[in-house]
Amino acid sequence: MAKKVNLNSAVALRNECDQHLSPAFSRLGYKESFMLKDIKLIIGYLCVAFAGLMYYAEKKYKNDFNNGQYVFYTEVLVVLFFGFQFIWYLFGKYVVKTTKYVGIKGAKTLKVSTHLKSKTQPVYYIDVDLDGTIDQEQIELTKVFRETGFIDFKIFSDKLIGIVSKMEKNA
Amino acid sequence: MNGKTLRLQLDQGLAMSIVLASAFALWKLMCIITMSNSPMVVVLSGSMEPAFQRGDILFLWNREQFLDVGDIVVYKTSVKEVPIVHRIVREHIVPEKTKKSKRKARKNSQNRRKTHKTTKKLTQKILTKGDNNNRDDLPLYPYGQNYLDRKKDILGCVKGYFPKVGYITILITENKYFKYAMMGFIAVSALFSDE
Repeated sequence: MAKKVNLNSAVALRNECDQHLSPAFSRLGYKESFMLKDIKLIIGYLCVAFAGLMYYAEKKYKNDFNNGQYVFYTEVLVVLFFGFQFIWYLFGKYVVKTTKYVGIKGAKTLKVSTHLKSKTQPVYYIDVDLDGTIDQEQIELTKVFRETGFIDFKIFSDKLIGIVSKMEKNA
Repeated sequence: MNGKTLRLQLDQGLAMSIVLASAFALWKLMCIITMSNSPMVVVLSGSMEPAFQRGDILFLWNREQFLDVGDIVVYKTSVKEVPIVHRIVREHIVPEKTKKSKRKARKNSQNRRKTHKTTKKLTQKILTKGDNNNRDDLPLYPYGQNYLDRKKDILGCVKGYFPKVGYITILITENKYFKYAMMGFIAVSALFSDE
């Protein structure tokens, strides 16, 4: 699962850490929920489907704008496409945001957002939301990656488990 | 393949598909707004010099019912696959001959009776000429056709243009080495992008 990454690219280091969030939190008993991702995928693929239907209508009616039926279908599909794309954009910006992991353990919901403040600084900022309680932490990426370019999963997961365990105790 | 990997691949597929779908939908939006099946065209020849040069991008508008002499139009006929950009030199507004009215007119002419339902729809017949050409476009029209039909043949009236920007399209279409160089450049930039 772990792959060698370019230690000089903060973005690559961040992406590798994001990939290991799920196995790290599964050690605490959290099961990853894909609901947000699935909704975003469905809306996105609906947009692609509308564009496909536009293409099909163009081929069927030979792109004849004198045909009132073709013009009507195209107008409806264009409105639906841009409407759903706007919803897709809003969903990504205000609902998903920078959420990289959503985990569920019983009645508890854990949401983890990650980001880099700068592409030149290898500092991994984590915002952990446990049932409304938010904690912001940072991990120096140089400490969780080996010189060979592979992630040290034990160190990484221990840091994450420490953050969440502390929040669970305080909750 | 587990659920996470599948979603990751679907996400990557969506990222590529949405770009293509958005470009296509934007084109269709422009078609709907201008009511033209080709709202942007590239000038391929020098027949409209000095007004338009080869490589200019023209923006079309097709919502006007009738056009005027002097308007620059883009038209396409069954004998010419490539759209042609020329100026209107003559136009006539005539009653539109529908199949229903033709059939009725034939019936009534036999009985020498006037039909109480006359066709009120009008259409426009247009003759065009390139500014840089010696004669009008009659040789370019299909055999037996002396005028262009406003509804069937005209793609739109030119409302604006960008000079020389369309030369890239001409190079991609006409020069295969340029096409491969563009594709190679796009592939190399995708490889070197951060994300």
